[in-house]
Amino acid sequence: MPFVSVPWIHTADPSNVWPPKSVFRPSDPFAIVMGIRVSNDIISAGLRFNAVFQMVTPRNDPQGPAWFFIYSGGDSEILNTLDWRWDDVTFDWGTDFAIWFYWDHYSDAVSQVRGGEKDKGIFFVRGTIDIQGSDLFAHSPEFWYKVRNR
Amino acid sequence: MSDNSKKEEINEKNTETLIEFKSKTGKTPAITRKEPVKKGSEIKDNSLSSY
Repeated sequence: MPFVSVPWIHTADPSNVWPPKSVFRPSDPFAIVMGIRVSNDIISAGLRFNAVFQMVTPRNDPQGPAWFFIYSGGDSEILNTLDWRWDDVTFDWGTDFAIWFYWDHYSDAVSQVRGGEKDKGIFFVRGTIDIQGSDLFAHSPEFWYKVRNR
Repeated sequence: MSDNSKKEEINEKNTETLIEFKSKTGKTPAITRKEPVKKGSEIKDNSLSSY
């Protein structure tokens, strides 16, 4: 029976992505790491997947320090998630593997964000895997982290 | 703290919030986001001691 699952996700230091790290300064290196398990028959079939990592703020009240985004035309909009995609990926790492995105600094990951909680607050990451050409998909649990700017 | 001073504190905070909210409608160039580096790896038996 083919299966895919995302048993865990966490934030980490990119120099060693295996231990979870849940507190960052804006200048710290920052990685989002997602663990994936997949059955051998999916790999044998040559299927590919699309992955999405999301950084999420749970606070969206526009009268608070919510995240927001400014468009080139001048309009702005409250921002709930930052979505980072990796599409059309082959299963190159066996049946039990991790993929991760990283930036040299946490502040790079939120470079387009405005608002009082741009680089401070409590947030979470989550992710999804969508196997192309099949009904199979999986999502991660949430992993919460804190950012301190002082 | 007296009731009056409490009201003043609340009003001050509300004013700050309104100023920030108004600034969101200002005309500002869009900011290009910084794309991450992408990597993958097989998980070795001893990679994840916490899971």
